[in-house]
Amino acid sequence: MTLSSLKIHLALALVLIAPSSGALAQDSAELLAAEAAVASAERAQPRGDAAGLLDDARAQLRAARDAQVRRKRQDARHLAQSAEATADLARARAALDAARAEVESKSARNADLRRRLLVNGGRR
Amino acid sequence: MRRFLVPLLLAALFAAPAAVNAQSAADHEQAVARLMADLRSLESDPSLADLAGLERLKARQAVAAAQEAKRRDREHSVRIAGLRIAAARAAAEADLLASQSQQLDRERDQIMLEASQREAEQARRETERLRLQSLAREEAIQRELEATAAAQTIALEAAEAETAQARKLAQARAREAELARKEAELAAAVAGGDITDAPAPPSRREGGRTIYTLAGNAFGSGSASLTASAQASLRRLADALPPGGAIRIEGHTDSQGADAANLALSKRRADAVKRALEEAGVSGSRLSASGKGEASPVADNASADGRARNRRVEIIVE
Repeated sequence: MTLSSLKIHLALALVLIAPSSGALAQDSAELLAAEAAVASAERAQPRGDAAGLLDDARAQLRAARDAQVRRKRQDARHLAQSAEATADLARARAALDAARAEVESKSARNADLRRRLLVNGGRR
Repeated sequence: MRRFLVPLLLAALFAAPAAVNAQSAADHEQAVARLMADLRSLESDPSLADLAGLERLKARQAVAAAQEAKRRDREHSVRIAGLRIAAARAAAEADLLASQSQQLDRERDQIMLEASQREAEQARRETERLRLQSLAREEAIQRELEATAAAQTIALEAAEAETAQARKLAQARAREAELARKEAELAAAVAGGDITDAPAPPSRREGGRTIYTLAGNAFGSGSASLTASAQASLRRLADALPPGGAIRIEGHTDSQGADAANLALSKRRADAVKRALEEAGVSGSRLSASGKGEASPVADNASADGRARNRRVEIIVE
């Protein structure tokens, strides 16, 4: 292999490796989507396991940002997607926990109302 | 030789990873199969049907992406798909619970409505009970008023009857006074020589005695003064009396007026008869006079006729 042909191969490799402007925009969009998902999960005020999932999502988001800064695009993309999916799961679990607590509370409330108003002859 | 060395080395370098890649592909296929099974389980759960549509879509897309993933993205895509399926199930269950929560709210409303209806029914019954109670009280008051009115009517009728009785009595007394006045006029006429003869009082035999009865009209009303006719009758009696024997004179009245007054009046009338007999020639030693008042009636004092018969002076010849 001659020096000139080596240069040609190296140039071709750089062209293939160098990120296009479209790919960079997609990376930023995934990062933004992850940030939005984490913010949405935070608003759901998760507790217990859901809170642990939110912590994981935050950590993945931070890692994605670091990877992006270090120009590790593949890692950044994967981490951002993981952060978004994990945050979505945290939000869903938080909603599930809240709904479960609400149903339990309302069931108890209705049982109490029925006992006080209907079973015990309407004494309030 | 050197010309073949490089391709041989390259072939060796690529042969080992190819085997590894083949194993990795098999593992990935298994992982994707599990993901699809999880997704089917979620999709076929009838209780979660039609819930969390967006999350289900993301899960389906993630599984599809995992199926199509390139080798370097396989592990990542499988993990993402797992997270998406879990999120879709959690979201669907949350939606189901939200629906149950709404159902519980409707149930609460129904309980409150039922309680309210019961309370209203209870209030209605209480009102009805109070109404009936009030009605009964009013009826009792009405009956009481009617009873009072009836009693007042009876009392009024009794008062009217009493008034009528008093009026009749007054009329009777007026009639009696009228008769007395006429008798007095007759007596005056006798005293003036108009009445010189009259029959002796009627008599009856009783236990060996002869009892002459001088009727009550022999005197003026409430008076012990003998009428002229009575004086003439007594003179005729004095002539007819046997020469010896005791003679008792008893005065009687009706039941009108006070007992003491009647007793005194009967005594005065008996004394008047005694004096008249003495004046007519009967010895005073044979005569005794007493007043019996209303104690010995011979007729019912309830009627005017009976009272007239009870007003009398009896001359008892032993």
